[in-house]
Amino acid sequence: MSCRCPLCGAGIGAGGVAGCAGCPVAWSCDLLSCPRCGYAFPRRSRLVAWAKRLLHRAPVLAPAPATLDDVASGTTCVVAAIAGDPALRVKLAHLGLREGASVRVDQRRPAVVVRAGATRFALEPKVARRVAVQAAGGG
Amino acid sequence: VAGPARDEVVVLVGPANVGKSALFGALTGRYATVSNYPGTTVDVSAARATIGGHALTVLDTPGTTSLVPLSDEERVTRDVVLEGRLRAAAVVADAKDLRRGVALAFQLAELGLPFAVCANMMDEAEDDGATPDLELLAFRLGVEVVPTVATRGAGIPAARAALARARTSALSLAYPPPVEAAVASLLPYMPKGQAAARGLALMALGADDLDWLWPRLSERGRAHVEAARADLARAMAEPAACAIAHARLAEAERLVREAAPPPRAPRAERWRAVEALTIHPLWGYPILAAVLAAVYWFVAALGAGVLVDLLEEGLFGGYVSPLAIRLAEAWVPWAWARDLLVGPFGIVTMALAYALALILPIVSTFFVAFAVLEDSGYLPRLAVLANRALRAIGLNGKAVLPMVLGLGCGTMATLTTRVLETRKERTIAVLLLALGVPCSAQLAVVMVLLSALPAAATFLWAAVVAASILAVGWLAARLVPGEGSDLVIELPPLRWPAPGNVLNKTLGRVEWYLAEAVPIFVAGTVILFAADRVGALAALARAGEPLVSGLLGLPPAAATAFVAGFLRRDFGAAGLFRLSEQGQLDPVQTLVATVVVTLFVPCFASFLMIGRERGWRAAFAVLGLVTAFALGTGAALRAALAAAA
Repeated sequence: MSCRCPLCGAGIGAGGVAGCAGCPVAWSCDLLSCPRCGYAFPRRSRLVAWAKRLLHRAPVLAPAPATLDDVASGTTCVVAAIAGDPALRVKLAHLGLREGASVRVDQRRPAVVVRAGATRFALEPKVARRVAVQAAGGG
Repeated sequence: VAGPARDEVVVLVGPANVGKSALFGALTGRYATVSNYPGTTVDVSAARATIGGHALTVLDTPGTTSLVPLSDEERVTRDVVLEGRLRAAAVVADAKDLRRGVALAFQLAELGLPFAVCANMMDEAEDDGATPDLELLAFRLGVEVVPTVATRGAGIPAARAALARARTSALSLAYPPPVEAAVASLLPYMPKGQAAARGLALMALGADDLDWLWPRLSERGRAHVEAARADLARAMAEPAACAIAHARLAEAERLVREAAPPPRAPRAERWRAVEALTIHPLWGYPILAAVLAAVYWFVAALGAGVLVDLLEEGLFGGYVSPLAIRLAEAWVPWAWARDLLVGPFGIVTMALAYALALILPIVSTFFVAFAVLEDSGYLPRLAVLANRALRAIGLNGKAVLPMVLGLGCGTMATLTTRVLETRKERTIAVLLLALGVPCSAQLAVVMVLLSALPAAATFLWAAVVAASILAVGWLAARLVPGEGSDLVIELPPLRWPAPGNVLNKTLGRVEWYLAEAVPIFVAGTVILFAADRVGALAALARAGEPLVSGLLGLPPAAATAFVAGFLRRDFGAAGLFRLSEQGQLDPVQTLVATVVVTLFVPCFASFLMIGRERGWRAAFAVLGLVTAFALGTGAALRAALAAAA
């Protein structure tokens, strides 16, 4: 679980993006949608996160990764859900990025480089943010 | 055994970057672009090959992961496979990563089409210690699976034999119950033909648009398909397209895990380190700069320098032109015909000298450099690094291939804009190629022109051209309707390019250049010659005078160079070069003229190619826009330079 819904308090982890299925603007949207009440809220402020890192020199709390874009390079994670249109999801599935697949993030910038089995590929951060993940080993 | 019907075909299908084109070359002995950039084959190549004692047509298709198409390229593959005259399909799979090939094999099995599997790049799998058990795979798939190393020609006789014996597979996957129920309900309505109803029904359920199936269905069939799709959408949480693809891929993964051990020693550590460095957020860029500098040095120093000197001054200046002039004077009695052959706008002295002595060495060296980049697997990494910058102009990293290729030849680059995913991206890429990306031939002449000026002029020229590309791209990203796409690109392993492949590919492209460009050079020269004779060039120069001298402050003769620039971009630059040699251009005029000729309209060949690819309305729109923009920028630059002086 990576955060709580500010409206109804439901814990939101990987399933948080499920409300986005069928949304016409999901492709360019940074909002999370609560699976219980449907309330949409921003994932987090990058400016605030950056300022916090700057002030504390270390993350205040080490949150479990929420999307593939948050996974530290060199770590393995399990794909929980992928939002986006079916064409993109099928394309990612062919590269080995499917629900339940265990993938390794090699690098985060300028693009997120992912290894799934023997296949290596690069994703734009925007696409990586649509892939909800859990820490490997049920963490 | 009955011989094959005359029009039966063998089709190579497989994901991008598994060596389909190399296998095509090995089977047919003919060249098709082999490269390490996902999605290089944009057209279907066809050639004859002897398979099972019969001469058959072999087709090489664009990279495809599924016969339910996600892109125009996959649509082409699907059409070829379902055309109904398939003798055999060869599924080309990457032996290191058979998953996608196996998923494609499942689809062919479901469609009831005869096929065999080639596990290509076996050498790399063996190097990784991940040699797959192909006998087990063949047993499970129910068709022949042969190991090949297409780039070295290994396993080709076996592949030929397997294709001759290709058969349908009885394998059948079980999909989630709602999908199976929907498939069963559709079976009676599927069109009868070579392809089996079960495969077509799965396609009807899993496809985004039914462009292939729709015209082949009866009224009732269409109603049933629509009803089944709607029912399925209600019955399942996941879109049917995803559910079907996932089920197929999961089964493929299971099978591959069984047949192939996990790689023991993935790849030598130092290669891994090099691969990581090429896309490193910091070190990736100096490496990129070094690679581009090396390419530029190779093309500019060797191609534009040594080889052009050798061919233009040595061969043409020393032997061919004097010989042609002597022959013409001895044998051609009419003055006009002599001029047509060896005059200032002569076929030998202008068209052939340009095409063979000036441009050929430059594009040949560029093609060598480009082939090395392609086969090494560096281009997708270039796409990753360039993504940010290209996003700003409405494109994504994938557009780096057409853009870099545009530095070689804009016509060829326009053709490869097909690898871009959306209409909007293709339109923007074509526009920018026509506007600001100078081809290698033009670049060489422009460099010579600028070398006579202080170094600041070259920087100014580069800055104006780059700013124009950025400004027009930024505007186009906002004005061209449609959507861009996000970068999702496979990173193939870095490899040492095989010299044979580099040579083969370079020769193939040089042949293409000769067949494509030389006739246009000759035709362009004849048109120039005729226009010169009837006084049209002088008239055009007079008509263009207010623009050329008023707006740009150039001598009227420069109008002739701009007219010539449309026939071939470098004709124009070369015309200006002659003016500057004759001392008719001062430094400011040279700079203004160079900028205008760089930004000026694409050459005749790329104009024709834009018309073919994006339609004639688009071609004329690009022509008008680019002309206006080039003249406007030239006028602005002149005013700015005058103000600064």
